[in-house]
Amino acid sequence: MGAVSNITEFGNSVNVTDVLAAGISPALVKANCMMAVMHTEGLPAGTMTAKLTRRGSLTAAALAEATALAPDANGELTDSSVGATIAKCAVVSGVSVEQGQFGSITADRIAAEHGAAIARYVDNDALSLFSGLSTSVTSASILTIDDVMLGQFNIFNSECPNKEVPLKAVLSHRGHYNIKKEIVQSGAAVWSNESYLEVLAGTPQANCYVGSLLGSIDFHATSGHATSGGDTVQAIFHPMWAFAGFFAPAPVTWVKEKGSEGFYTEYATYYFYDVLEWNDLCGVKLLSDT
Amino acid sequence: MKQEVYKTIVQPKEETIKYLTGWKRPGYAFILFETKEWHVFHDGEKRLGTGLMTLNAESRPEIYHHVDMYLQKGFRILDYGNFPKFNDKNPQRAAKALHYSQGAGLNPWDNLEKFVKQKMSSEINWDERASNYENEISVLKKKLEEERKKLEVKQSVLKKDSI
Repeated sequence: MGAVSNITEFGNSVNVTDVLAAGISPALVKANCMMAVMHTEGLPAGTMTAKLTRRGSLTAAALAEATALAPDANGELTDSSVGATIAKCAVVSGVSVEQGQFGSITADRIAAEHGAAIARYVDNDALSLFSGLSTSVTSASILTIDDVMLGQFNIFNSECPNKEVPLKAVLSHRGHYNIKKEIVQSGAAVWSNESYLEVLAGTPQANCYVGSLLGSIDFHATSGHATSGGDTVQAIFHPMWAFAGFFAPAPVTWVKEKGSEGFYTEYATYYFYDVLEWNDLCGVKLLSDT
Repeated sequence: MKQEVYKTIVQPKEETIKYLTGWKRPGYAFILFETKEWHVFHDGEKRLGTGLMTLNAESRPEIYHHVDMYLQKGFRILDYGNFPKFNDKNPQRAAKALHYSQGAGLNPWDNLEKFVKQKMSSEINWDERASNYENEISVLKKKLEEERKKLEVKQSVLKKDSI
């Protein structure tokens, strides 16, 4: 049977449209992880470049009685350095006057989104430094606790200073999952002790921290890692000595009204920073199945 | 499915080929390095080998210091690409190149390209590349000749029809 004619339907009235519901979902994007786990400094003053010093050391030798010892290579103290050159990353948005007048996207919202976008860009840039580390542990397939501990061993074996500070393992979400799965499946008595279970039982924090393994390795899980072949490039490193970054205190936003170009307001935000590897031997990259 | 080995400008070491198998060129400006790294194993073995590393040069054309640092570590530049150009087919990337030129007409990625090429020059087999290009030219010339002949035949048919 066909539709009945001449019924007063919903469409016959003038209705309220587009009422905002109470729920507003944030964007499904990653959080910033790396800035908190590296050596950080403000921007250098009056120059775009800065040098991070790596101290050298001397070598002593045994000396027989009544023997002269002239200055030699063992006594020549040489420091080295790595250079940072400050770069700029930016994001520009245009908001039409119609959106400004009638829409719900405010200038504050644009500024906040610009800040978040820049933070993700900087974070991914820092994550890409993992690929440059000269020591690697490649998992047979998925990441295991043993792989992470082998990385830890190599950092300790390189005599990276401040061993009392827990190392940071910045993993992909899959790597984190595989570590947890290994704990669950191992059946080892140690994992029935609640104080050892943080990495399994804890919830991810805003800075991507997901828990500690026996108090000596802090795990962080995030996305945006580089890949190599079929592997994700993660890393375990010393937070004080492996990587460094120079950061401006905050992004700068310019607001400019554009008339002849289309009646919109341009929001342009830029941020100065550089991230770099400082001491290669204080980090080990962990490659496991993507 | 068999994965292809990505062909780099500089010939990689044998060991690196497995990493280049199925490797996809990124969508951003990049410099691809062959790393020199220690592979450590659970049985205590430590073997010096290679790996791959991609340096992101998108929005960062002044990345020379990073290139130098990695070269000092014994890495080799294998490839580079996607640097924004003034005449880029993608208008957004052309606009980016113009934006970064600060109105001075100098594309900073052109300078980076020169720098990278100079660092690669000793590794590039120029004779091989020249002969590859010559081969490509001769194939294209052949195709052009075939198309020209086809056109001549068509034109002669049209001429006959019109008569």
